[in-house]
Amino acid sequence: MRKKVLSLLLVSCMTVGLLVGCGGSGGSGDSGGSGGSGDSIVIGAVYPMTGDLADSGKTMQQGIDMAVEEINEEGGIDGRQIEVIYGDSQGDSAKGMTEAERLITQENVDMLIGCYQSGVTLTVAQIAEQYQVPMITANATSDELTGNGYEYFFRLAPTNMMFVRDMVQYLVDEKENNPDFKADSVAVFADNSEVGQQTVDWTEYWAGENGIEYLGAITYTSGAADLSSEVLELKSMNPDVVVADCYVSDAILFTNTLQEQGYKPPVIICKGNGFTESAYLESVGSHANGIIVATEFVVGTKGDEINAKYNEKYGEDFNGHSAEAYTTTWVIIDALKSIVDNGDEISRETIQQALKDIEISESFSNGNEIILPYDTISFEEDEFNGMPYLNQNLNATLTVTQITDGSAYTPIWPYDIAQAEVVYPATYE
Amino acid sequence: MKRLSIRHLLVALLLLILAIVPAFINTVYILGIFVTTFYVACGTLAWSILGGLTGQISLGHAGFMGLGSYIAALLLNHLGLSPWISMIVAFFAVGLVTAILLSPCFVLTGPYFTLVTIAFTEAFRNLFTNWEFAGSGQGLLVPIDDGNVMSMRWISKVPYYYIALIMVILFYIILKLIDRSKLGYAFKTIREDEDTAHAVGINTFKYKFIATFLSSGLIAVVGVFYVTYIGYINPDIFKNSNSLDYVMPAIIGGIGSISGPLLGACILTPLSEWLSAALSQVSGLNLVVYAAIVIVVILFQPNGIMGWFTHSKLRKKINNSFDKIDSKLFKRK
Repeated sequence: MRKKVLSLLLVSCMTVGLLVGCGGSGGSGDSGGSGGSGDSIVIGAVYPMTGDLADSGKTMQQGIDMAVEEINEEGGIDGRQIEVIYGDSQGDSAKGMTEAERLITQENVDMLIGCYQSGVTLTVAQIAEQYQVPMITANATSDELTGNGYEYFFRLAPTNMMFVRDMVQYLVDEKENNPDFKADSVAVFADNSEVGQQTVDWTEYWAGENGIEYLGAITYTSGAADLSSEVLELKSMNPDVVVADCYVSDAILFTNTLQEQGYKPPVIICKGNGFTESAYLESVGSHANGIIVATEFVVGTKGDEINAKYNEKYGEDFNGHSAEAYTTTWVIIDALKSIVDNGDEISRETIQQALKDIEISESFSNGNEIILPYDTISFEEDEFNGMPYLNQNLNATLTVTQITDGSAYTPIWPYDIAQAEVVYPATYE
Repeated sequence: MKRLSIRHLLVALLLLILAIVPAFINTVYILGIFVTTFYVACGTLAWSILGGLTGQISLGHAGFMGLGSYIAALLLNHLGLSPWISMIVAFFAVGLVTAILLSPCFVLTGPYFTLVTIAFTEAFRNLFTNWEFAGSGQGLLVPIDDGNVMSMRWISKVPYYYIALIMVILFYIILKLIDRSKLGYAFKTIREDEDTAHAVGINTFKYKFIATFLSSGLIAVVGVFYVTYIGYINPDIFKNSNSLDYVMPAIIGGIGSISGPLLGACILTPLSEWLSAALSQVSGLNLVVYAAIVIVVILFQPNGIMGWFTHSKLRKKINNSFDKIDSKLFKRK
């Protein structure tokens, strides 16, 4: 019995400790009043707040919270404050679905933001479509999401097709500009999840379009404990360029394995993803020097003031995810403003229409510039290589950067914002 | 034949209330919690055949369930086969495949068997992430086909509510029948002491085979339901943490009994949903509180709620009062 009492005591200590810890870090920015109170405009956000993707979820929450705080300080929209209620998907489709239903039917949200992983987003988008609740994703990249003909689903983020398009375009441009730069053959190194497989498919497509030889793909299971045989295989292919797409833990392992085996591919170009998470450079440091990363946001190219404000608030710079979440929230705010300007009532229907019609160029209504690499945001319909796109921000482009000094992402493409020339071949030291 | 008693009336009343719940609750979210509770209860009951009755702790049931889901999604998308039929197909196919593949491992006991089931699920996760026909990592979407009973895809949750409710009742009856049959006694003997079972002439291999077949077959049926309900499946379903969703209720409710796992699921699922709604301001808080509750229960009642209830005074009191009511109501001595 004594043991039991003791362990109960320990459990309660642990609980209290964790509660205090959570309370410090996870508290949402605004008042915390529960439920859709009569006056405010309520937005639901479904993100992984716990589990192994909680870090990414938190990053996006920060971006959203900051934008919401800005508009509420300005006096809200037509005198109404914006309130964000978060749902925790725990990175799981079924949980994401229940949370979305809770937000839609219980909290009566006017619209949804989310999610992070494409699989969860797919399930939640289906629910949003059923209930005719407009939903916008800041950073799910799977092409299929905007290919289902969902009228209520919008996407700001570039899709995988667009990611790889810009990466290959960079290779082509660099080859023209720089006679030493060799990019005649390409191989892909990616995990075998949904997104990784799309990266493989689109690399094959874009390489073919641009006359680059496609040598093949090495895929692995995310969370692998060892990548040596995969790296050996890659080495035996000996491509001029390696296209990589990994979550952060795999990205770290990949970089370290390259080092161990002494394999130095002249060019590694990767999708932002794991290579831009802060944990990546912390772990590999200068071993990553020379790796080229395509990303949605680069510190120092645009929006310095906004980034400074963000840094002051959260103690870190924007990364691609938080910058996109921040921008997405401002797109929503401008859509809401346009509804009010037209003298309409804010409802799910009018928000959907406003998002469909919206066109933002250069800056938002409060005068802040778009901090992402492109200057226009609008949701359009198109078809490309047999893949239909509906309500996709087709203006999205990326910035290509190179890791230097084991600590910085230096923009090298597009050339008008480049701060340095590419270091070729990559040094990895 | 037992005579009618107040207990039967209470059960009938409960079922009646459950049957008319959708008429009074029209909030989709609450109805959704009911559906989740029901299918988790089904999964836990299915797990109990192998884990509870036979004592072979499996952590691979999410995998068996995933196989069922994939079978239904593939058959529906490619051949247009109704999930209703897939339920039968999945029951036999998954049951047999699992039982045959696991049969060489029946000699393993305790944690060793558990490890094999984990590996089993992991192997299938790799298979499905790389199998292009099954959508590989991208998974499969099962489109909504509202109004068509055969495709089992509705917008409303009410049909799912009734299907899941009927599934719980059926699973419970099946388990009760097994529990009282010769099969059940063989299972339980194996659980208590495998050597003794062998000595008294029970073919342990045969009965473990049957238990695995029934357990994984039934959870595959739950998998078919799951994919039509969620509408999307990807290899994430094979994650080992998902298996725990069906083990936890059994542990909390009381491993080994039939009502225990059912009770556990009916407590844990709504509890976790309620916590995540009530404590949504602070991310992760719900999980902390949930974990604390679970730890406390396991600490003080290692046999679960039913394990405590069976030997408690409360049960005697309830039994006595029921008997009194019976004697007054039905004029029985």
